[in-house]
Amino acid sequence: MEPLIITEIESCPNIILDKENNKFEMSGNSLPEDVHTFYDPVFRWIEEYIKQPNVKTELSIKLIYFNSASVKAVLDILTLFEELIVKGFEMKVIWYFLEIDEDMLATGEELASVLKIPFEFVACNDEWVRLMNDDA
Amino acid sequence: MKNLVISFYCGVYQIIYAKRKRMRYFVQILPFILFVFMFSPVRSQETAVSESELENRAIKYEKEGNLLELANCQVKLGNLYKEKNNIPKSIEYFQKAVKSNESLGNINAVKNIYVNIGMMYAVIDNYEQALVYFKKSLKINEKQSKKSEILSDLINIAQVQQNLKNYTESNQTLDRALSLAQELSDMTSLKNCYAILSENFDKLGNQNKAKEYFDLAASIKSHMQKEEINKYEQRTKQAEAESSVKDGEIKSKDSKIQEISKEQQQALRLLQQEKEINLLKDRANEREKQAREREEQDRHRITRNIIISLGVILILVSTFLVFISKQLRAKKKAYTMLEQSNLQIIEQNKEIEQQRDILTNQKKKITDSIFYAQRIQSALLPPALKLEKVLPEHFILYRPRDIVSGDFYWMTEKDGILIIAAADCTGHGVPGAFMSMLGVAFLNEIVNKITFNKHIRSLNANEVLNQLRENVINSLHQSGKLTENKDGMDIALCIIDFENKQMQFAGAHNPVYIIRNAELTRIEADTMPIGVYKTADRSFTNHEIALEKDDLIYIFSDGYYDQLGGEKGFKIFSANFRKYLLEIHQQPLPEQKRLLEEYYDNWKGKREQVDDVLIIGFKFKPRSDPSLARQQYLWQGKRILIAEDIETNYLLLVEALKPTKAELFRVINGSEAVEFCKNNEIDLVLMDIYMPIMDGLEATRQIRAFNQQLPIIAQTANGKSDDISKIKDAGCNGYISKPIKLAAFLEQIQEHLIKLPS
Repeated sequence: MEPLIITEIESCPNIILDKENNKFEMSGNSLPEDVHTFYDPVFRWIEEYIKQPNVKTELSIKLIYFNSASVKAVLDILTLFEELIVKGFEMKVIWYFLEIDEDMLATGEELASVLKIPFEFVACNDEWVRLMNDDA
Repeated sequence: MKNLVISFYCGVYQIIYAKRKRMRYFVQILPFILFVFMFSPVRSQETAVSESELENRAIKYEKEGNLLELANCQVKLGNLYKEKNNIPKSIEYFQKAVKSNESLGNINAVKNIYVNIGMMYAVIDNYEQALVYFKKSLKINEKQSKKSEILSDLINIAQVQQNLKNYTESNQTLDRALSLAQELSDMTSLKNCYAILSENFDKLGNQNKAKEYFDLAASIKSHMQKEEINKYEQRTKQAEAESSVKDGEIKSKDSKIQEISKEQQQALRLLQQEKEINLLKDRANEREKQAREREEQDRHRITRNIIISLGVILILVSTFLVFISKQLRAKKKAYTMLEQSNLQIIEQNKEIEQQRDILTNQKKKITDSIFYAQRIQSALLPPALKLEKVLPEHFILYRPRDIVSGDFYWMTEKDGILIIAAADCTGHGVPGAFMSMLGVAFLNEIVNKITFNKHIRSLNANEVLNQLRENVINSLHQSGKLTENKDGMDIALCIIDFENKQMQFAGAHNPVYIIRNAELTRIEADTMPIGVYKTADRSFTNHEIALEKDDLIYIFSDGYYDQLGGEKGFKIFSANFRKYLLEIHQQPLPEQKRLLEEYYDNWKGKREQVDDVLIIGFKFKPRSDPSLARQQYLWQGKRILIAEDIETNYLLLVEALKPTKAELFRVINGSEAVEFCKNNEIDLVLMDIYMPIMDGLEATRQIRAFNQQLPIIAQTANGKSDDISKIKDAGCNGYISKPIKLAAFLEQIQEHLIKLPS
């Protein structure tokens, strides 16, 4: 399965969905002008993936900013991944957030509360964002 | 020298040939073959032989079965007829030569003849046949893996394909030829490939590619010419150097001879008698003469060398001139191409400008229509005056990211109850604005519908949100399916009871902050939106909070504290937002707004605004309940006359008295008031002092003339003691100061009405 890698689209998060290397990550800011256009290929990829998933899937979410429409898109993404739990595969979300950003933590907790996927919350300091910006 | 002449001749031949047939890029096989068969020294004498003689010889050899000579003869005949421009005959003999050579098993000869036949067919424009023979040659060369010959075949084929207008096929052939030419570093073939490619693309209408390849060909050509010139220059220099070396040799011999003669002279002088001296001198002279002759011979040789060199130079110059003229032609062609592409660029520019104008126009139209939409949107927001009246101390920081906003605020006030909400729709700009219109319409409808059935006092904040969510889901036909639209809104909604100092709060994601005694309390919202959601069946939570005077209440969207900026490009974060609110909360509310904006702008810097911004802040001021006051008095059946000339004052009084159910009458001056009291049963008069025609004081005096019991209460704008004494002197029972204080006003009227025996 071809990996889906999206980088450096303005106002959009970087996305790595790579089955072969077992790497699944969303990072950066998400405030696309049209959420549907941006996230549709992501949905399609995941829909394909869950048909033949890896035994263990760990999705890292390292978002600094996302608008309310993007929150809903993320929820949809996770709802798709939730299917893995239902099917008996291992699935986990690692939710990175800036220590000071209680809103991001709250959003993560809210998503965790409505999903069957286990969440791990990782509080990070400024350095993390700097590193991530460098990556991008 | 002979070689040079030949190659020069071949060059000229090529040019003439190319001009005639417009087939410039056939590989030099034609001249090459001419060279082989016509100019090779061994056979040069035979060129004089006539075709009939050759034909006879051929017949002879055929009879003898001398295949080798026969084949030679046939090739010669082919060439001869070619020379005489009898192409069909030429082909005929070449084909015969093929057969003979095949019998001999001389594949190489066959192959070369194939190329010749191909050429002949090309000359008479029979390109299909030409292609057949070039391909035959190619096949043999491929078997033999002779790369350079494969290359010439490919170029010939490409040229023929071009003539057949099979440009794409020709390009494919050239593709192969190009890589071979590169492999063999064959500059001439490379140049020819590029040249044919350029023409093909020109024909295919791809001017860019055509120009690109033309430039490549031209640059290789000029490179090659330079090399050629260098080579010739080098040869010239070499020739010059050689002749100067010979020159030197002669000179050195000369001097040696002189030395020898001197020695001899000396020796003779010493050894022989004077008689012999003359003889010896003669001999010496003779020797000198001989030496001079030898010298002259050498000089002659030098002159010959110089003449040869001059000849070489002459040929070089003429060759050079031919190259120059070719180059000039190439330049001219390049120039015309450049001019053409310039024209194209001008055309394209025009087109781009037109498109730009169209876009500018469209953008203007769209922007204009959005600006108009903005007027509609702001008309739907609560008017500032209304807010001013209900919340004397408040601010609204409202900053759409685009012209229209996905954030909106909404309020309604009824019977001492204020409902106020700050909402944030998904999206911003036009889509957000659409949602916000929906929100405003729904909130109006919901509150009207609920309060139609029950008193606004019994309305719950969460009830409004539940209802709002239902309306949004239904009207957007949201079914909760994945990938369908999840549009909705976040909202903070407060219901404030001014008399009972109570506040209800319900929120979808958006909380409310209350600052009291320099402490900020956060009342969290439910973590679900207004819209379809996993927990959309769950009711929103209703929070009840007892308020105190001067409590500061803030509701907002997340746009303010989510703004990216600062040194590290972080959000403001809600924690910092709260901290800043606490810092500035003692400032008057308009000042708080200014400070918040300043903080935001500094944080944002030159970055873009990420979202719509909305913050509403207000200070809670409890009210005594005017409606409660009104409810205490019921004056059904009482008749009150209002003498008041100014409309607004009259309406205010009507507003204040209406709930008491008293019957109200109005006159607009003193004399009308006197007249009314004479003719009607009245329980009380509210008498304005300053009125036209007859003022209130005079009217009171006249009424008192016929009615001492009627309570008359004066209204005065100022509470000056002068006025008060005048009012009493005129016979008024009491007075009220404008603007009226409702409770006190009603109390006073009650007093006077009860005094009366009803």
